[in-house]
Amino acid sequence: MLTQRFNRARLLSALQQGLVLLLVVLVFYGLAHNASLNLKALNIASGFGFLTDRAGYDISFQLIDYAPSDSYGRAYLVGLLNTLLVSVISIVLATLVGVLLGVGRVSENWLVNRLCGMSIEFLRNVPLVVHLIWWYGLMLALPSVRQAFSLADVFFLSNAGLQVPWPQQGAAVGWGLVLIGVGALPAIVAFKLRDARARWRGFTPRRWPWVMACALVLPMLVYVISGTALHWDVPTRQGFGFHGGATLVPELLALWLALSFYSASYIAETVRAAIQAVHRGQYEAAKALGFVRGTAMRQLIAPQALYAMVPQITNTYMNIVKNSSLGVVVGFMELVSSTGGTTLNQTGQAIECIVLVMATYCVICLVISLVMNVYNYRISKRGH
Amino acid sequence: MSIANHTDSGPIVRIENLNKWYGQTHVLRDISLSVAAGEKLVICGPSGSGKSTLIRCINQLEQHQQGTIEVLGQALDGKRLEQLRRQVGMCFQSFNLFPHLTVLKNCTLPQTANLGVPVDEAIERALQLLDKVKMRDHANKYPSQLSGGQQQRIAIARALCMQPRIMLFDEPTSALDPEMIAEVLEVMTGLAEDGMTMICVTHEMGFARKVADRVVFMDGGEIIEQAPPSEFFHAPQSPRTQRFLNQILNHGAQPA
Amino acid sequence: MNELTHVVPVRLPPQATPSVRAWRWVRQSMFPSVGHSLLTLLVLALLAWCIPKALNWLVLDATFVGSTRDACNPHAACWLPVIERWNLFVYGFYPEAQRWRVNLAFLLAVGAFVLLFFKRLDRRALLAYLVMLPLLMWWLLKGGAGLPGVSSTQFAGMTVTVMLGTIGMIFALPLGILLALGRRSKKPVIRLLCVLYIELVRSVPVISLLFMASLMIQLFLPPGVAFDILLRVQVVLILFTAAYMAETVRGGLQSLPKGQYEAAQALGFGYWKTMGHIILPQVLRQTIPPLLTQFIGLFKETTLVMVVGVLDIVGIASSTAASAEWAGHDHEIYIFLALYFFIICFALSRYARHLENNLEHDRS
Repeated sequence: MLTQRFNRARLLSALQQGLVLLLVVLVFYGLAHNASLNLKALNIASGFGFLTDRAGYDISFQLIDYAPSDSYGRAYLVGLLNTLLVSVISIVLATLVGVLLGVGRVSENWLVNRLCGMSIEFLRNVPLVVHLIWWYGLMLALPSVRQAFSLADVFFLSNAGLQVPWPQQGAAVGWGLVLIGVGALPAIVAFKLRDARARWRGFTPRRWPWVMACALVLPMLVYVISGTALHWDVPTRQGFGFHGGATLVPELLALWLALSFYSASYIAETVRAAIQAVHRGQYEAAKALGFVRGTAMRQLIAPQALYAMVPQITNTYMNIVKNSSLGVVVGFMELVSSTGGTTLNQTGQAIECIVLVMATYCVICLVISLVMNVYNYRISKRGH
Repeated sequence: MSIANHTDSGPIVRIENLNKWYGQTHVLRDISLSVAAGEKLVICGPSGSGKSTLIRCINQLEQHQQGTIEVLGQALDGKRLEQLRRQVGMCFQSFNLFPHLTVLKNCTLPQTANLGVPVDEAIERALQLLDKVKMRDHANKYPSQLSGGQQQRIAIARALCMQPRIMLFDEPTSALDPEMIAEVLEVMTGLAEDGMTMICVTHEMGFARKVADRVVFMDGGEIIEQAPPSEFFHAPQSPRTQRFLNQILNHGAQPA
Repeated sequence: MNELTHVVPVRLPPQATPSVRAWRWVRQSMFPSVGHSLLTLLVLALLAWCIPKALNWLVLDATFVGSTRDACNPHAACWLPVIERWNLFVYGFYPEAQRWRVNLAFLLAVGAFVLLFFKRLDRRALLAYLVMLPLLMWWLLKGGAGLPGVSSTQFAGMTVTVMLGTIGMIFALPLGILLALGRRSKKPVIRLLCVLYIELVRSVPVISLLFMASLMIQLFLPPGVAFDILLRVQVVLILFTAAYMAETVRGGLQSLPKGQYEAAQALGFGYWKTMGHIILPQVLRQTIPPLLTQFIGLFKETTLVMVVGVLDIVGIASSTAASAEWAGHDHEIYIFLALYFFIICFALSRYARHLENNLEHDRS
């Protein structure tokens, strides 16, 4: 009799799930049906064929060559690269500022402590949009090109953006980076082998200087052998503008700074919480063994705090990537404002464009979360 | 007199009229105590009597407001704490091993970072001491992979790596399962037999009877009674001592 | 017995005079070492340079009274754009005669927070209030059934923010709870659907969802049916917040000791009764602080609706800053914006922390 009841429960559960599935399928079918009717009535095309059509609009900041005569597909690529660029530089600056603020927040120095606390609260409680508008206003209020600030006559800051020297052979830079990566590999492999053999030592001397030296050897060899040097395109003033170099447009600068400082406040809170979460006994053991505070923080407390920080910081990094979509507020052509904005308006194919944009973000977030999961797993093998 | 030059003639620890307050609460009252070299002291008493606080004042994990503490001839005044702490070893109730380091590195890092001992010598000494506490085979494991008793033994080895002149134990077995208490007490007994000066705060009366040169009973922040174990356990003077011993040894049986 | 209890004379710790203690505190907290002392001096110098200037510009030399820009002191802040246009910032384009409805709606929304504070309030009364609140607010603000209707295009400013935030939160919470329960369900279909929904919504930026609301949803509705832009934005915000809340509630569900579930089962409670009577009351009490933090996040996120053409307070501020009348005074307007959000969000986060501390006290 028990099995009878058991079977009936399972049958009921299967029925419930079947019903839910049916409902979902029906809803989707209904939506799709409506969509096709509406699209036909509005004379809008379907499918992703539009990606090969001529784009017809310009993008002010581009990492790869792009002209209005290129396709929508290429415009999408440019937007994607812009999103990635903004995300990466924002992650870097946010981490830097966030860690500084977070460490300052737990400092013994009362003044530094309180000041960091106030900064964190202020940065966190003001919405990102307001940050953005604020920084954009600041960027536009910079002096005009003729009175631009300059650093060693090589960098120029004005209301037209930041002029930086840019390598002339863009492709060569790409290859250079690849070479550095390849050059570092043998050093890393050698150290891993050495670690495996020297397991009883329990000591790892500073590897980084060696890895870096090794990484530079290969490009140097290539340079010496082939004779190609890295030429820099230095910006120079010319009339009402600049000649040469690359321009980081004010929209990019505003988005970068706003994203970085806003996210830094979250990173700072994570860092603070992680440091304070380290068990008090650890501090006491360090004191009892005669550790100086600085060494104790670096070697004993920080690694433990790092482990606690990883999930939260992963979250913050993903938020940075998602928040880069705010470029649409200041008119920076990243993914959402180009493909989800201009392309959508011009082709009218809302569904395809938005699906493309959302799918891209899904993939990026998935990759970040995967990378962090691997990192987490490797740390957790230590078993704490 | 610097700590390094201290001879064995004077007491290793000398406490005079120690008073400590937490806020307005008076937790240590007029404590006076002296521990000679090679002496083994066991401090016992009900919870809240201040015994842990006293021990933590000796290596300045807690600060006192009145009175003097002299360790190895040097009065504690808040300066040169690191130097002092390298001479005083401490074992905690919650072991406090560093979870992100292997057992071996737990023992070698304090030596290399604080004593400036070269790496190979540090490893040598660490392995020797791990052997002594019978944990040498686990040198490459992480603390979380080991049991409580094993971790505490490693904690003792870690403290011993600093070659301290005196070892403090703050209820080392209170957080352990009963079957692991014996192995830790064995290590501590061996340490005592080697002549180390020890101050232990513990509830293990068997250990006190076997190892201690003097047993100190504290209650309400004061030292009520101190005597060699034979006198302390068989003929306690103060009624408070008697009541405490009754509770501990008979698990709460009422006196006749 | 008398020998065991003896009166101990109370002694107080030796205390230095207040001035000595103050000096010691300053020395310990600001100048503990050489490095720190230099840092302190640097920071003090920076503050000494910034603060008088900022104070002068912001408050002392600033203009608070006047009606046109000519009254402004050119060397200091001019707060006239904000003060003159205050009604616009708060009520948007709402007809003046009907503004009492907005005020009432504001009060009701604030009332929800106040009620959370009273622990002794009957849970069912609180629940009833929260269920009625969104309907009441929608009716008050939009009109219909007795009250004259107000078109969505007249909604702007703080009205929009409070409405979207409060109604959004109240609907998102039950949805979030259902999603969290669904994610932990043993039935694979339901679990899969909930996981897909939550992960999808959490992986995309809010802006893309807002674009979806304003551009795409139209296409999925039967021809001829049209939804208010405000309603569409509200729905999207609810669906978006629900996914994040689901994760918060799921964390709470996981942290509840398994013994609670087992005890309920042993006592013969079915699934829904267990959830309703035993699990959810505990989980919700515990997760109120993080949920409040979610509300702060939602409150900040409502500023994004300007990308789909709904003017919230940021939108009004932008248009004011761009207007010919007050051109050049955008700094003051943006400072006002920052202060407005800072005060509200900071107060709410402090409140959340206070609730969290209360919870700790109750538990221990």
